Amino acid sequence: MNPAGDDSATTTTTTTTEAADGDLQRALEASLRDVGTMSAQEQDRLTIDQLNDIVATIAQEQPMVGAKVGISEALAAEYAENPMKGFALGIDILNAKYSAMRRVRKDGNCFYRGFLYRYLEALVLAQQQQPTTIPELVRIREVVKGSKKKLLDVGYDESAMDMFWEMFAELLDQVPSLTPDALHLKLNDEQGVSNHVVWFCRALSATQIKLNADRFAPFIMGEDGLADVDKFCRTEVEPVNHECEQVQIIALTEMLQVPVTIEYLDASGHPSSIVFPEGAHPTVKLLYRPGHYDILYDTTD
Amino acid sequence: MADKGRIKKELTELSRDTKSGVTVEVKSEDMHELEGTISGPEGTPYEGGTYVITISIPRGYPFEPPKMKFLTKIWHPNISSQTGAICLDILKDQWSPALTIKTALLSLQALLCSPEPEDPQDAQVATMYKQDPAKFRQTAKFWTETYAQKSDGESAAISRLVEMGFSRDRAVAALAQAGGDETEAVNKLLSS
Repeated sequence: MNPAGDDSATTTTTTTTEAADGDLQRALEASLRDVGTMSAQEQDRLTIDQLNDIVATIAQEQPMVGAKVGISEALAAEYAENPMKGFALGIDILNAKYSAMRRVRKDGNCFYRGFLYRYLEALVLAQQQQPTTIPELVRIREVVKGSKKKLLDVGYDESAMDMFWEMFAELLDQVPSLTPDALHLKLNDEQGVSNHVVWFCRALSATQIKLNADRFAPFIMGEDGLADVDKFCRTEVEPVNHECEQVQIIALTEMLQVPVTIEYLDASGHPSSIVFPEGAHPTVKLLYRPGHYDILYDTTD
Repeated sequence: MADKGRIKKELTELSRDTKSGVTVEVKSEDMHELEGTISGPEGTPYEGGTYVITISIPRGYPFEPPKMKFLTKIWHPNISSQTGAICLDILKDQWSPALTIKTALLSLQALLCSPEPEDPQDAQVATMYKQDPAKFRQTAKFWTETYAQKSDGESAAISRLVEMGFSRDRAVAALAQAGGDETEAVNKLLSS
């Protein structure tokens, strides 16, 4: 059920920024193992400072979304030393199927960021070729417009949500005047709307889960065997930098009615492709490696 | 740069709210330094007390949590009796932009109702909470009366110790340490 939790084929990690998102927490935990003698307060301080440091280092060294690069060019070197040859076989298969990829920053937001970037990029490209507003842009604006009431209905605070909702709606309004390059700059601007629109995807995902609590509950069972949908959203969806699992992916694709294909690359030598929802024909395609998502481009893109 | 528009919206919303028992006052021109108050919940040793909390809005707000600390001294397992530092998950890694200054203050109020001694901020208080609940309640109540209530009537015990010739500060400190037990406080003062 949970691909993000499956780290049976964890890649070898060398430095902090090389580590996949899933390793952010593990790196932190490892560095905290020797602090058992400190007071709770000192430990908390340390945890927050370390997490901030790790996130800040990643932010300095990696753009939010990188430039387009060839698949084997990007991945082959990364797995050259990997003793599990399945990765190299998998890369060859992906290389035949896809023309390029973009690396997404490994800060725990990679799914939301990659998904939103690729969706908006495709929207900008499609709109560029048309004199009038394309149906998909009309549709998504309506979805986002209608989402505000849903957010408030499930209990979100208007004073907290307004700016996120407004920034997302404004960005969609700007689509007809944007080029892919301008969008790229916008979504890589640390001081701009990028983090806001990415976080709004979390709020949308959480709202869909809350609105369909009965349907999602069986997939979010806690350790105690109980499914607490509100708690799940509060601890697993809403916090910034918290990784995305399949439940959040399903919820976001449902809320926006934007499908996604995910290619799973592991040591098996046979990347598997899963489409959310089943049977759809997504434009947005993401590469998943244990703990991290990047953007993929079809050979026809 | 923290989002000023959002802070303004939150403050407007807070000023309209007269029911929740929390208030916030702006302490700096840039609206980054605030002071909140919460009232001690009924049925707890904190009932009747008013607690002042310093709030500092970081640059990364609302992606980073507001920094909060008790200015009013309080006897609680998750709040430092020395510094007022708070141990609460939503002010740390469980913070999210969906939360607000108001929801954070309400969570502090909830924390006063349900201490979490297994995740303590103040080990001494947490130990007392677990091992001697009666003494814990007595001490927390005394701290409430001494530090968190408007000083219209001084506690009779403080007055008596002051009459015995101890300074007010020392009398309060000794009583606070003794959880309000006057005899124990006198013994402490005499033996020090």
